[in-house]
Amino acid sequence: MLCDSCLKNPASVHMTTFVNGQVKTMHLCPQCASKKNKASSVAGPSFNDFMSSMYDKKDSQMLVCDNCGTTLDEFSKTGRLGCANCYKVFESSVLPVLKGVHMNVVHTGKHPGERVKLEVAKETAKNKKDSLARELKSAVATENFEEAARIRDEIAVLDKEGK
Amino acid sequence: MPKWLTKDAPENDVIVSSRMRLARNLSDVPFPTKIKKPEDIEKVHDCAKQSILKSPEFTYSRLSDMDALGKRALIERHIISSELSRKQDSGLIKSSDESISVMIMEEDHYRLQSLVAGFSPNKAYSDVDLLDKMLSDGVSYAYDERLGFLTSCPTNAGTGLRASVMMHLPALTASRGIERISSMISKVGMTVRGAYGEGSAASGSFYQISNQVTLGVTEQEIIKRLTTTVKTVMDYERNTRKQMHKNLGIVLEDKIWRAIGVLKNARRMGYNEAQKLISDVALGVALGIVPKITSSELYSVMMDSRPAIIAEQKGKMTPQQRDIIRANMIRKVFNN
Repeated sequence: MLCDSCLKNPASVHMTTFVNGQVKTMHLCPQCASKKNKASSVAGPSFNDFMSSMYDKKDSQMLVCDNCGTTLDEFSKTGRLGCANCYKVFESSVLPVLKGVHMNVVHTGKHPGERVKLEVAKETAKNKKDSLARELKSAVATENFEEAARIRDEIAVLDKEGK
Repeated sequence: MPKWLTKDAPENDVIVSSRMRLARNLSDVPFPTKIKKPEDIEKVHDCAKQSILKSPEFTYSRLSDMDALGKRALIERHIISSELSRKQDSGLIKSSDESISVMIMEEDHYRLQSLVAGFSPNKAYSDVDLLDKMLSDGVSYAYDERLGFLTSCPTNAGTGLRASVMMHLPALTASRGIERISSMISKVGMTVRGAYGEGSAASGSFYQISNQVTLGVTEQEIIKRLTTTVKTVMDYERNTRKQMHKNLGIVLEDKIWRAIGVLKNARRMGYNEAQKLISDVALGVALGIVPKITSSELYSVMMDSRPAIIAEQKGKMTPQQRDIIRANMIRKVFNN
């Protein structure tokens, strides 16, 4: 495939832009590509290296979010996205980052408006019992049997109160 | 004394507080780094005000209306970040006891937070979850079926939940066990940091343990993992304390009583010194060496003696004057 711009050199960079929701793809040679996007030819800081090591450079796309104006280059440098739409526009770059940080990229938590149920009321009493149980274990391990007997009695009292 | 710091909080011989934070954004407004239109910024503030100020325990303020000292004191109390304090367009909603708060226009539109004394991750989560429900009923969140809640930094996406516990680990610090723990903890998707967050040194042996993974796990799983990790560290700390006492005996007791001697009598005291000495005494209280004073009293005087918090109470002054006031405050607590 030849470069769309100079029509001479073979195209090795594929540039996708989002304009008014329309996807436009251009196939360019490295020289024309660097002319089109000077910023992208500048070597970035460490986050950039980290990102680029995660996705295939052959597929590198020079993208701009049509909603907030964030560029892929900006994202590679700062690690920050500009709006919810960026997640769609930069999907192929964001997903490897998400995979690297989180191991899994499918949300399993709650959705907006949902409430998560956790046992709160018992927390205090249960914590106390848990902590006594651990103290008991530690007292036995250090052969402090007097202390162990005292803790055992305290747990028994808690159990009774629980009933 | 911080109002949320209750007496007899669970496991307070090792754990100072449990904290939850949810990152949330509106769907139709660019994130704070890219927000430009003034009406968009007002929308972010107004949505939070309309949903949350319905409940009378909350108050709202603009950071630009606060003086530098007030902002510094909020940072020292862990209610706001220094990033929020530097921003012109940022705001804060907080409950009267400061246990529940929302940072507005920080890195994300909203950072919902809750803070509970001692080891109560479930209570802390329930508080922030209720706040999230209040806000979500009035707004449309940036949310994706597959990726969950969308955040400015992808490291917070998914649940948007950062669950953390502040621990006092003097024995693991002295025995260097904390270094082993840090590398173990990072393998299970958690992290250990100094008490003041990223990059801060752990002064007085206070550390924060929190989750790093926020996507692909449920809120319950994150809290359960945190709970398990914290319990393991807590047991390790308690056993190391006992072992230390057994091995060092009077040498350790002498160190603790000397700390009390200085705290009871000093006429000038810098914050770092105070934090170190109070940390020694807290170890003594936990080991039953020091009677009459409680862990929560110690955590409380430590928080109240931070530089900007003293200045907020007593007015602007030089660091030297502040050291005198700090020493007076501490003497009062220890001579009671």
